[in-house]
Amino acid sequence: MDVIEVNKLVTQYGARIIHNELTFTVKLGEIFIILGGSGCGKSTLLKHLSRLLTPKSGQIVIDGTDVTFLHQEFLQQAMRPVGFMFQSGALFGSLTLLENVAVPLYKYTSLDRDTIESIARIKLVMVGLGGFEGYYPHEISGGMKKRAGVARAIALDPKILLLDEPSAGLDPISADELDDLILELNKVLGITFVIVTHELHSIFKIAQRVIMLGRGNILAEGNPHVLKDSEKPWVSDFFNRRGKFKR
Amino acid sequence: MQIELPKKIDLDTIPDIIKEVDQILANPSGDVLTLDFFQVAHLDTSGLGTLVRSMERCQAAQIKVEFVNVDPKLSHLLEFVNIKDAVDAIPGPPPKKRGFFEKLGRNTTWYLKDSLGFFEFLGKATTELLKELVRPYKIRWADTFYYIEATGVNALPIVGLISLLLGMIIAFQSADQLKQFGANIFVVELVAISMLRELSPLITSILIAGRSGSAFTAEIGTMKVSEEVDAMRVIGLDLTEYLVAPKFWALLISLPLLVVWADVLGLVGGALIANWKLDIPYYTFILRLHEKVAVRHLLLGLGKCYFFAAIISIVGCYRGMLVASGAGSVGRQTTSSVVTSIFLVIIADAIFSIIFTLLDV
Ligand SMILES: Nc1ncnc2c1ncn2[C@@H]1O[C@H](COP(=O)(O)OP(=O)(O)OP(=O)(O)O)[C@@H](O)[C@H]1O
Ligand SMILES: [Mg+2]
Repeated sequence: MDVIEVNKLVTQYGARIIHNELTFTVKLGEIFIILGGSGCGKSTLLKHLSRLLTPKSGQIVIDGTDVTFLHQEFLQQAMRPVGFMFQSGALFGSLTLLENVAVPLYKYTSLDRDTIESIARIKLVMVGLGGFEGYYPHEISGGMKKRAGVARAIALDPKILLLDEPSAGLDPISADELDDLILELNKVLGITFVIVTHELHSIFKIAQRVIMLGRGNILAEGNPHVLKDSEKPWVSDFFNRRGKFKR
Repeated sequence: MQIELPKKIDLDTIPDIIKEVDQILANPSGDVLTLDFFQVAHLDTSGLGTLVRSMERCQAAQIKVEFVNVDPKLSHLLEFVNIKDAVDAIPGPPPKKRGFFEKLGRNTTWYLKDSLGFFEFLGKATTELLKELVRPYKIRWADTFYYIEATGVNALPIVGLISLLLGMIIAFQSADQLKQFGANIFVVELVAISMLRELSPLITSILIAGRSGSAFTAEIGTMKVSEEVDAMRVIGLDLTEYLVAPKFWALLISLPLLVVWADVLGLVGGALIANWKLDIPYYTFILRLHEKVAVRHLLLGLGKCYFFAAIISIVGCYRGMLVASGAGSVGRQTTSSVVTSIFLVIIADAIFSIIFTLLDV
């Protein structure tokens, strides 16, 4: 079953087209990875999938609902199964980490304060931030912000998690732990992941399917272990870390 | 045509190269320009940029550029000259120079869109605020109290000082005139009515627009830049409820209180000068105030500032929402927020003056 269907998606900033008729699907329970050079529109794609931006044309179906041009009123309900971690973390600066993670819980549940706080604490421990509950975002490092962003994104145990470069800026150990966390959430809770990443280690460790964006379209699609030996030069260069001057 | 490039191509030698290219382009004697790299041992990025620029200029003049005798050490750098990134978004059309009428049209549509956007925002905000007014338990009181402190309590010293000085200035300026007619005692009405009715609501609102309106815009704007507003939307939080309403209610509560405070200090200032320059004892000042200055002046002044408070917070929040990206945008919208709200406050005050005159109050 497909939880995300993207059909001939066209997006643009002003007159500049970023994606030109993009078509792909993400299956339930899959770890789906979006690759591509810097500036090719990966973050933009995630923002369209979460409907922060409205596409020019095309179709986006999330969990059976066509959300492409859905009105604001219904959008919130339709996007309930989706969690989002921003490239920058985007934590609320005026709230502590614990409060940040608790925000969605306050919004969507009527649990009492103590329960919400203990749920939020568990999420923070899961991303390795136990003990930092009372810290404000400006008091922690960039990598810690990302992990806190992941914690907030999984606050409501969403069905689909969109992560924008979760492990960029993390040390190898933390990055590996984050990958383990993703695998675990995927296996145990059956969460579908759509992840933008450049980390080859991560890709080979967790990806079940990748698409590679470029020139506004999909350059390649498939399993990373297969794509590694692709005929297309740019694809194999990517997986073998070859810059254009080493060819 | 040929240029023999120097040993080093860097910021020191670039002007000479450009001069040579200029000369060749001024009267070309062929359609191929050869750049001889024979001597070149060092090429840096500025030099590279100059070469690219020179090639573009030659191409524009239909002249082909060829490199000869290139040291293999340099060849990988020169590859940049022909770089077209294989994998990138589709580049858009380059920005065009715009003519007068195009600019006029664009700016007009922009202003129309801007005001339309404002009314849309105003409509949404009003609905949400009315909803909260009916169900006050939905108001985010913790945030609201925080903003009451920030906009009200913390502004007490500056508002107080300025009103005190204002009261003193009015009394001082009128003292000489009144003395000539032996009408010393009228200084009480003069100071009281002008402060209560007009000056303290207006000056306080202008101060608060500069102090808190700008802070609202900058705060929301920064949240937009750091994607916090997007994060709120993804989580499904209502932006009006979380970002606008607490500021709105806070200012609606704190501005009238500040105006009362400004009234009191303005009168104190007037009384001090009346005592010193016009020999009016404090007791007489208070008595006269009580007898001759109607309460309605105080109430009219207070009534107006509810509208001013609404203008300042709505404009401040709206401008904050308009921030697109980058620190520059925050700065522009903050400036615009202060200017717009002061302008609207003064317009509103003028309208109130007309209405009050017509109603004869
Ligand atoms: N707000 C915006 N307005 C105009 N253009 C934008 C905006 N945001 C992004 N772009 C453009 O869209 C393109 C795609 O940007 P995006 O942020 O999606 O890239 P990305 O693939 O996530 O890159 P990275 O790997 O560096 O994060 C970029 O080339 C950028 O110039
Ligand atoms: Mg990105």
